[in-house]
Amino acid sequence: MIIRKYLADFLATLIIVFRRFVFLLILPYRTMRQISQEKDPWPIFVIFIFAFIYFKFIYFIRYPFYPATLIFFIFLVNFSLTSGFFYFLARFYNPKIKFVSVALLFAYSLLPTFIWFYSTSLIYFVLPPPRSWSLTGQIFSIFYLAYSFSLLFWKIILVYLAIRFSSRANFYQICYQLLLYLIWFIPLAIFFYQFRFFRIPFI
Amino acid sequence: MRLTNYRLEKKFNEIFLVEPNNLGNQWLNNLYKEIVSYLKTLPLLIIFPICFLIALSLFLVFKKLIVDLVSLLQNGF
Repeated sequence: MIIRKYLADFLATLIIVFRRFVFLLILPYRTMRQISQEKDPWPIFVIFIFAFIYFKFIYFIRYPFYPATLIFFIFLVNFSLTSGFFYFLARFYNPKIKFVSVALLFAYSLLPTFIWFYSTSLIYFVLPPPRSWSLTGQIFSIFYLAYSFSLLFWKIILVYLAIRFSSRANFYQICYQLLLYLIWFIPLAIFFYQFRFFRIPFI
Repeated sequence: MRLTNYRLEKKFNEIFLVEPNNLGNQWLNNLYKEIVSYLKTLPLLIIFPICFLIALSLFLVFKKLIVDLVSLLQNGF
Protein backbone atom coordinates (compact mmCIF):
# COMPACT_ATOMS: atom_id res chain seq x y z
CA MET A 1 0.00 0.00 0.00
CA ILE A 2 2.79 2.43 1.00
CA ILE A 3 4.87 1.35 -2.00
CA ARG A 4 1.88 1.96 -4.28
CA LYS A 5 1.48 5.46 -2.79
CA TYR A 6 5.19 6.29 -3.28
CA LEU A 7 5.08 4.91 -6.83
CA ALA A 8 2.04 7.05 -7.64
CA ASP A 9 3.78 10.13 -6.16
CA PHE A 10 6.92 9.40 -8.17
CA LEU A 11 4.96 9.00 -11.42
CA ALA A 12 3.02 12.19 -10.76
CA THR A 13 6.29 14.07 -10.12
CA LEU A 14 7.76 12.61 -13.32
CA ILE A 15 4.76 13.84 -15.33
CA ILE A 16 5.03 17.29 -13.73
CA VAL A 17 8.76 17.47 -14.57
CA PHE A 18 8.18 16.47 -18.23
CA ARG A 19 5.34 18.95 -18.51
CA ARG A 20 7.53 21.71 -17.08
CA PHE A 21 10.34 20.77 -19.47
CA VAL A 22 7.98 21.18 -22.43
CA PHE A 23 6.74 24.52 -21.13
CA LEU A 24 10.31 25.72 -20.55
CA LEU A 25 10.75 25.35 -24.29
CA ILE A 26 7.52 27.17 -25.17
CA LEU A 27 7.04 29.71 -22.34
CA PRO A 28 10.26 29.91 -20.28
CA TYR A 29 9.41 33.15 -18.45
CA ARG A 30 5.97 32.08 -17.26
CA THR A 31 7.13 28.55 -16.41
CA MET A 32 10.10 29.72 -14.32
CA ARG A 33 7.78 32.16 -12.54
CA GLN A 34 5.43 29.28 -11.64
CA ILE A 35 8.35 27.07 -10.59
CA SER A 36 9.62 29.82 -8.24
CA GLN A 37 6.40 29.52 -6.24
CA GLU A 38 6.64 25.75 -5.83
CA LYS A 39 7.70 24.29 -2.49
CA ASP A 40 7.83 20.59 -3.43
CA PRO A 41 11.48 19.36 -3.58
CA TRP A 42 10.76 16.00 -5.27
CA PRO A 43 11.23 17.26 -8.88
CA ILE A 44 14.86 17.96 -7.96
CA PHE A 45 15.41 14.26 -7.24
CA VAL A 46 13.72 13.26 -10.49
CA ILE A 47 16.04 15.63 -12.39
CA PHE A 48 19.04 14.16 -10.53
CA ILE A 49 17.92 10.72 -11.72
CA PHE A 50 18.18 11.99 -15.33
CA ALA A 51 21.73 13.18 -14.57
CA PHE A 52 22.63 9.83 -12.98
CA ILE A 53 21.28 7.94 -16.02
CA TYR A 54 23.40 10.16 -18.27
CA PHE A 55 26.62 9.47 -16.33
CA LYS A 56 25.92 5.74 -16.36
CA PHE A 57 25.18 5.92 -20.11
CA ILE A 58 28.44 7.64 -21.04
CA TYR A 59 30.35 5.22 -18.83
CA PHE A 60 29.48 2.55 -21.40
CA ILE A 61 30.17 4.71 -24.48
CA ARG A 62 33.60 6.03 -23.57
CA TYR A 63 36.50 4.77 -21.49
CA PRO A 64 36.19 7.06 -18.49
CA PHE A 65 38.88 7.82 -15.99
CA TYR A 66 36.51 7.60 -13.00
CA PRO A 67 33.40 5.59 -12.12
CA ALA A 68 30.02 7.10 -13.04
CA THR A 69 28.93 7.31 -9.40
CA LEU A 70 31.92 9.47 -8.49
CA ILE A 71 31.27 11.83 -11.42
CA PHE A 72 27.61 12.03 -10.35
CA PHE A 73 28.70 12.87 -6.79
CA ILE A 74 30.96 15.64 -8.12
CA PHE A 75 28.04 16.95 -10.17
CA LEU A 76 25.95 17.04 -6.96
CA VAL A 77 28.70 18.99 -5.19
CA ASN A 78 28.94 21.42 -8.13
CA PHE A 79 25.16 21.88 -8.22
CA SER A 80 24.98 22.40 -4.45
CA LEU A 81 27.77 24.99 -4.60
CA THR A 82 25.99 26.85 -7.42
CA SER A 83 22.56 26.79 -5.76
CA GLY A 84 24.06 27.62 -2.36
CA PHE A 85 26.01 30.55 -3.79
CA PHE A 86 22.96 32.07 -5.49
CA TYR A 87 20.81 31.37 -2.42
CA PHE A 88 23.35 33.23 -0.27
CA LEU A 89 23.28 36.20 -2.68
CA ALA A 90 19.48 36.08 -3.10
CA ARG A 91 18.97 36.52 0.64
CA PHE A 92 20.44 40.04 0.36
CA TYR A 93 17.60 41.05 -1.97
CA ASN A 94 14.82 38.69 -0.83
CA PRO A 95 15.24 37.55 2.82
CA LYS A 96 12.13 35.31 2.63
CA ILE A 97 13.56 33.06 -0.10
CA LYS A 98 13.85 29.33 0.69
CA PHE A 99 16.76 27.17 -0.51
CA VAL A 100 14.34 24.63 -2.03
CA SER A 101 12.98 27.31 -4.36
CA VAL A 102 16.46 28.28 -5.58
CA ALA A 103 17.52 24.64 -6.01
CA LEU A 104 14.31 23.88 -7.92
CA LEU A 105 14.86 26.80 -10.31
CA PHE A 106 18.46 25.80 -10.97
CA ALA A 107 17.50 22.13 -11.36
CA TYR A 108 14.99 23.02 -14.08
CA SER A 109 17.61 25.24 -15.74
CA LEU A 110 19.61 22.02 -16.31
CA LEU A 111 17.32 21.11 -19.23
CA PRO A 112 19.52 22.64 -22.00
CA THR A 113 22.53 20.94 -20.35
CA PHE A 114 20.79 17.57 -20.53
CA ILE A 115 19.75 18.09 -24.14
CA TRP A 116 23.27 19.08 -25.22
CA PHE A 117 25.11 16.33 -23.37
CA TYR A 118 22.65 13.57 -24.31
CA SER A 119 22.58 14.62 -27.98
CA THR A 120 26.36 15.02 -28.16
CA SER A 121 26.91 11.55 -26.70
CA LEU A 122 24.43 10.09 -29.22
CA ILE A 123 26.09 11.96 -32.10
CA TYR A 124 29.47 10.65 -30.87
CA PHE A 125 28.04 7.15 -31.23
CA VAL A 126 26.57 7.80 -34.71
CA LEU A 127 29.15 10.24 -36.15
CA PRO A 128 32.35 9.95 -34.13
CA PRO A 129 34.83 12.84 -34.41
CA PRO A 130 37.05 14.18 -35.88
CA ARG A 131 35.10 16.10 -38.50
CA SER A 132 36.65 16.23 -41.96
CA TRP A 133 37.13 19.16 -44.30
CA SER A 134 34.64 17.66 -46.83
CA LEU A 135 31.41 19.50 -47.73
CA THR A 136 29.30 17.32 -45.41
CA GLY A 137 31.83 17.88 -42.59
CA GLN A 138 31.64 21.65 -43.06
CA ILE A 139 27.82 21.68 -43.20
CA PHE A 140 27.60 19.48 -40.10
CA SER A 141 30.10 21.75 -38.30
CA ILE A 142 28.02 24.87 -39.01
CA PHE A 143 24.77 23.26 -37.87
CA TYR A 144 26.32 21.66 -34.80
CA LEU A 145 27.89 24.97 -33.76
CA ALA A 146 24.56 26.79 -34.29
CA TYR A 147 22.79 24.09 -32.24
CA SER A 148 25.36 24.37 -29.42
CA PHE A 149 25.15 28.18 -29.37
CA SER A 150 21.32 28.03 -29.30
CA LEU A 151 21.33 25.74 -26.30
CA LEU A 152 23.93 27.94 -24.60
CA PHE A 153 21.76 31.06 -25.09
CA TRP A 154 18.71 29.21 -23.85
CA LYS A 155 20.70 28.08 -20.79
CA ILE A 156 21.75 31.69 -20.13
CA ILE A 157 18.08 32.78 -20.37
CA LEU A 158 16.98 30.09 -17.89
CA VAL A 159 19.79 30.90 -15.44
CA TYR A 160 18.91 34.62 -15.72
CA LEU A 161 15.26 33.81 -14.99
CA ALA A 162 16.26 31.54 -12.10
CA ILE A 163 18.23 34.37 -10.48
CA ARG A 164 15.51 36.92 -11.33
CA PHE A 165 12.71 34.97 -9.69
CA SER A 166 14.72 33.73 -6.70
CA SER A 167 16.43 36.99 -5.72
CA ARG A 168 13.94 39.41 -7.40
CA ALA A 169 16.98 41.44 -8.41
CA ASN A 170 17.10 43.77 -11.40
CA PHE A 171 19.16 43.33 -14.58
CA TYR A 172 22.38 44.96 -13.30
CA GLN A 173 22.26 43.11 -9.98
CA ILE A 174 21.82 39.80 -11.85
CA CYS A 175 24.80 40.59 -14.10
CA TYR A 176 26.85 41.39 -10.99
CA GLN A 177 25.82 38.10 -9.34
CA LEU A 178 26.77 36.17 -12.49
CA LEU A 179 30.15 37.92 -12.58
CA LEU A 180 30.81 36.96 -8.94
CA TYR A 181 29.77 33.39 -9.78
CA LEU A 182 32.14 33.16 -12.75
CA ILE A 183 35.06 34.42 -10.64
CA TRP A 184 35.13 31.14 -8.68
CA PHE A 185 33.38 28.86 -11.17
CA ILE A 186 35.89 29.26 -14.01
CA PRO A 187 38.90 28.13 -11.86
CA LEU A 188 36.74 25.26 -10.58
CA ALA A 189 35.88 24.24 -14.16
CA ILE A 190 39.60 24.33 -15.05
CA PHE A 191 40.31 22.18 -11.97
CA PHE A 192 37.67 19.65 -13.10
CA TYR A 193 39.15 19.66 -16.61
CA GLN A 194 42.74 19.15 -15.37
CA PHE A 195 41.68 16.21 -13.20
CA ARG A 196 39.54 14.78 -16.05
CA PHE A 197 36.24 14.96 -14.18
CA PHE A 198 34.47 17.08 -16.81
CA ARG A 199 35.74 18.34 -20.16
CA ILE A 200 32.85 20.76 -20.46
CA PRO A 201 31.21 21.71 -17.12
CA PHE A 202 28.00 19.79 -16.51
CA ILE A 203 25.99 22.64 -14.98
CA MET B 1 -17.37 33.33 -7.27
CA ARG B 2 -15.09 33.08 -4.23
CA LEU B 3 -12.97 30.47 -6.01
CA THR B 4 -12.69 32.74 -9.09
CA ASN B 5 -11.62 35.68 -6.88
CA TYR B 6 -9.06 33.49 -5.13
CA ARG B 7 -7.64 32.27 -8.43
CA LEU B 8 -7.54 35.83 -9.79
CA GLU B 9 -5.76 37.05 -6.66
CA LYS B 10 -3.28 34.19 -6.92
CA LYS B 11 -2.66 34.98 -10.59
CA PHE B 12 -2.10 38.68 -9.86
CA ASN B 13 0.35 37.81 -7.07
CA GLU B 14 2.21 35.60 -9.51
CA ILE B 15 2.31 38.21 -12.29
CA PHE B 16 3.50 40.97 -9.96
CA LEU B 17 6.08 38.73 -8.25
CA VAL B 18 8.94 40.88 -9.51
CA GLU B 19 9.09 44.59 -10.27
CA PRO B 20 9.65 45.58 -13.90
CA ASN B 21 13.31 46.02 -14.74
CA ASN B 22 14.65 49.57 -14.71
CA LEU B 23 17.94 49.99 -16.54
CA GLY B 24 18.24 53.66 -15.56
CA ASN B 25 17.64 54.99 -19.06
CA GLN B 26 14.33 55.08 -20.97
CA TRP B 27 16.00 54.09 -24.25
CA LEU B 28 17.67 51.09 -22.59
CA ASN B 29 14.37 50.14 -20.93
CA ASN B 30 12.58 50.17 -24.29
CA LEU B 31 15.38 48.18 -25.91
CA TYR B 32 15.31 45.62 -23.07
CA LYS B 33 11.52 45.24 -23.31
CA GLU B 34 11.71 44.89 -27.11
CA ILE B 35 14.34 42.12 -26.92
CA VAL B 36 12.68 40.31 -24.01
CA SER B 37 9.27 40.30 -25.73
CA TYR B 38 10.74 37.97 -28.40
CA LEU B 39 12.37 35.72 -25.80
CA LYS B 40 9.33 35.13 -23.59
CA THR B 41 7.56 32.81 -26.07
CA LEU B 42 9.38 30.08 -28.03
CA PRO B 43 12.78 31.80 -27.76
CA LEU B 44 14.51 29.08 -29.81
CA LEU B 45 12.54 30.21 -32.89
CA ILE B 46 14.48 33.49 -32.74
CA ILE B 47 17.69 32.19 -31.18
CA PHE B 48 18.43 29.34 -33.61
CA PRO B 49 18.38 31.44 -36.84
CA ILE B 50 20.56 34.09 -35.17
CA CYS B 51 22.97 31.40 -33.94
CA PHE B 52 23.03 29.85 -37.40
CA LEU B 53 24.03 33.21 -38.92
CA ILE B 54 26.70 33.64 -36.22
CA ALA B 55 28.04 30.11 -36.88
CA LEU B 56 28.06 30.71 -40.65
CA SER B 57 29.88 34.05 -40.21
CA LEU B 58 32.45 32.43 -37.91
CA PHE B 59 32.92 29.64 -40.43
CA LEU B 60 33.48 32.07 -43.31
CA VAL B 61 36.09 33.92 -41.25
CA PHE B 62 37.93 31.08 -39.49
CA LYS B 63 37.12 28.14 -41.83
CA LYS B 64 39.20 25.11 -40.72
CA LEU B 65 39.39 26.29 -37.10
CA ILE B 66 35.60 25.90 -36.81
CA VAL B 67 35.76 22.29 -38.04
CA ASP B 68 38.49 21.63 -35.45
CA LEU B 69 36.39 23.37 -32.77
CA VAL B 70 33.43 21.13 -33.56
CA SER B 71 35.65 18.04 -33.30
CA LEU B 72 36.74 19.35 -29.90
CA LEU B 73 33.14 20.00 -28.81
CA GLN B 74 32.09 16.53 -29.89
CA ASN B 75 34.69 15.14 -27.50
CA GLY B 76 33.47 17.50 -24.78
CA PHE B 77 31.01 15.19 -23.09
